[in-house]
Amino acid sequence: MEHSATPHSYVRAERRRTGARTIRDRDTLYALLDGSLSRSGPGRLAGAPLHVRVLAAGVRLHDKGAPSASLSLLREGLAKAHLAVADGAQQTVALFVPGDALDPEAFVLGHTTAAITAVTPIRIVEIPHSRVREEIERRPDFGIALGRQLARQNALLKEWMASLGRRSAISRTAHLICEISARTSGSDVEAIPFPLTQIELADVLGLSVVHVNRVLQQLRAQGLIDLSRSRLSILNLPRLAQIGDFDRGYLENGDPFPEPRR
Amino acid sequence: MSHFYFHLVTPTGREEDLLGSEFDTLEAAYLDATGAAVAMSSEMLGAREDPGRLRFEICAADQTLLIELPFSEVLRVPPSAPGGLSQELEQAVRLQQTHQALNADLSGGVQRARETLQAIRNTLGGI
Repeated sequence: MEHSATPHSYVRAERRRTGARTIRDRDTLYALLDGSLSRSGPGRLAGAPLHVRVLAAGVRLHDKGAPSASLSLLREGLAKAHLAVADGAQQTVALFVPGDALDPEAFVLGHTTAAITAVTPIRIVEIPHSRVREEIERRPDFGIALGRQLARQNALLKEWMASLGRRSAISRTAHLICEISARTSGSDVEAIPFPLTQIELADVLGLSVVHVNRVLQQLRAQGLIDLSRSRLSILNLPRLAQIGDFDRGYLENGDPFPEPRR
Repeated sequence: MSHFYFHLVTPTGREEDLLGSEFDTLEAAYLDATGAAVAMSSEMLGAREDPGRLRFEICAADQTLLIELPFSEVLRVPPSAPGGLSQELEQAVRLQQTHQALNADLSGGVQRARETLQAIRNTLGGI
């Protein structure tokens, strides 16, 4: 049954059985990895236990272009993908939060397309590409989940490109704060860990450190955020989202396989 | 790393930097502030505001004023802009012109010496 099911029929069957409207990539991958899906789904990942690695802050997982034979899933901490430009400056091109795949493109290309470094201490689970391939053949939703990871990272990149190209310094900063909050917290007012330094923010936002400093203080002075001791509170999300031109729709999973209408 | 504060002085007042930023050296802090001044000026000009009267006061962790950075300084059109030459380039051009003039003088002197020598030979040959 598992082998013969098409992705569409498999997802529909899974949805009917679990009562879930959608199967989210993060949930699915998490469930596959920690075995919780085995209680409600057709089975846990086959084979030997997965390799878990713990990296200290600042440690580089991959160089740009490095060959990769495994898919790395972030379980804890914050990581970044970054590129060095000609004058030695760094541009951060992606931030990864728990649940994200750090190098999904390497499964297709065989190598990474940016350097990946731990921003905080991180814990990752590595799934050999051979097992990813087996799992996709065994469970079509695994392939869909991987495709969603790539699609979501593509959506994030598009927003970042719009920020770097067209948004003002305060707008792109507000947008990033809204985005990180949406990706790491379900609550709009809860203080979330915000371990990015001004230097790291500058590398993400394409701004100088002093400019980032000024913008953060502008947002604080306007009563929109509180940032202290590496914790961020959004005090006025509607206004911050307005300044940041932020609409969280690009972060949400659509439903690629809607139930046919009767 | 040292902590620096970048207070922004505007025509209407002084915006205190309550956070500060970390830099290895004052030079690095100054260079980064220069980049910030350029970017902030660009945004202000886009909004038809005048950044020329703003300045950063860069202070140490104990709030000692280390250096001022007027935005007008980073906005000044450098001599290397089209139609002008940088000071270094102008100096180099002047030096090259001096060398050319000296070479010309030297060549002329050598030529004159040759002519004089030839005249002497001619005179001696006629004796």
